[in-house]
Amino acid sequence: MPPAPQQTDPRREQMRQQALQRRQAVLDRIVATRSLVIGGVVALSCILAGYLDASAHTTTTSGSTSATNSFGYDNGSTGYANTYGGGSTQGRLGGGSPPSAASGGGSAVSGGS
Amino acid sequence: MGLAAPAEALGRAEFAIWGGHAVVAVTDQSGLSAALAHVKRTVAAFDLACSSFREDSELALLNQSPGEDVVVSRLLFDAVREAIRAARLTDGAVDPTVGQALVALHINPPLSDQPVRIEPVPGYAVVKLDEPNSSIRLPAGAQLDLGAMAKALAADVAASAARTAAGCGVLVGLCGDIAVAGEAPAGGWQIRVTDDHRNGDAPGQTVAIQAGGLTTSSVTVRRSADGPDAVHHLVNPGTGRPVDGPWRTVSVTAGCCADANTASTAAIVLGEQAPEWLEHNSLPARLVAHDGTVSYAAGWPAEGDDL
Repeated sequence: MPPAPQQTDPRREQMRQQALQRRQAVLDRIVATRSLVIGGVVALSCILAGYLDASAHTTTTSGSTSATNSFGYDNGSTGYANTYGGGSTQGRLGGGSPPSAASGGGSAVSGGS
Repeated sequence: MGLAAPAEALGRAEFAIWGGHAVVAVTDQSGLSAALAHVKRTVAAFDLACSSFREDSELALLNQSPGEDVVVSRLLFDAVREAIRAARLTDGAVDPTVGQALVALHINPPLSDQPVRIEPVPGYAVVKLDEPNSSIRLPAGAQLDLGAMAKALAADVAASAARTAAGCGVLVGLCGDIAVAGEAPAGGWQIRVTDDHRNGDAPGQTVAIQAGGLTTSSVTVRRSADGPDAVHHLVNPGTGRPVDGPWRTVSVTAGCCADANTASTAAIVLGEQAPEWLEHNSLPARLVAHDGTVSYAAGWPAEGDDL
């Protein structure tokens, strides 16, 4: 024999609905605040990345007469993406300064491969 | 701008690559892991696009598709375009169409069972680039090899990317091709110049650079099978054979590693004309003759040379 349906108290039901609405409102505020914080972090990161990128280009081009190459590729499977300002000019090789004499082992070795 | 980092504060890491080794150095130790990660990603991307030693590279596909407009990645397109620019600026002394010659010399792996003759290379003018469509067409009988250019270009790109990621000065060395980006340490990046990048204790010279690139080309390193028939990998495009000139090793500095590599390779091929050509192009260079005699061009210092 099925159980008898429970009687619903309209006043209790109204209070339950109000409690649910209040809880939903709190959750909505939390989500909105979190989105705002994440959005701010993303925006700041973009600004910082743009600044660093611009700085990198300035440094790269300062070592040569002008930068005319532009590499901006996303190489598919590796997910590699980069922008290289280039350090040379199309019309000629060069743009470098002579090295200075030094002593010791050095940070790296340049030799045939 | 802060003070340049002292040399003893540098962070440094090495890893094996392409039969040699790579070096990553930073002026701020805390940026080393980020720099290293970017260098490894860059190297992997270039290897997949430009290697003559793997069947699944884009270059291998291009070399096996004569007469077709092959759409390629931006990376491979740029590398080929740079190689053609290098050929043009050296009047063909450095030429990317040496691919078949390197196969004939048993330096690069063959693409098929067809016999390959040693003969002058087709020349860079046969390569057709379609920039808007990012496609490349090679005629039958022409194969590209981007070994030297791709390595140097990868060093430039990796140094730039690593510098941005690490936020400090960076040196990247790929099998002896050196690129630096950002602020150099106090006194500059010190680099040992020798015949073979795997033997830094050999006689040579230590120099310092502040920017750009430094590369060394040498005929002392044999690439083909061991034995009396072993040959080096620097091919004279005019003959399709290994260069037989007066220089065993040439080092050059330039505004970027790709240009330095183009110049050091061209100097080996140009032979007796190299010193004048380097001076004319304001490319500082150190040239070592087969008997160990050293010459310097365009302001390269003579101090501290062991030879």
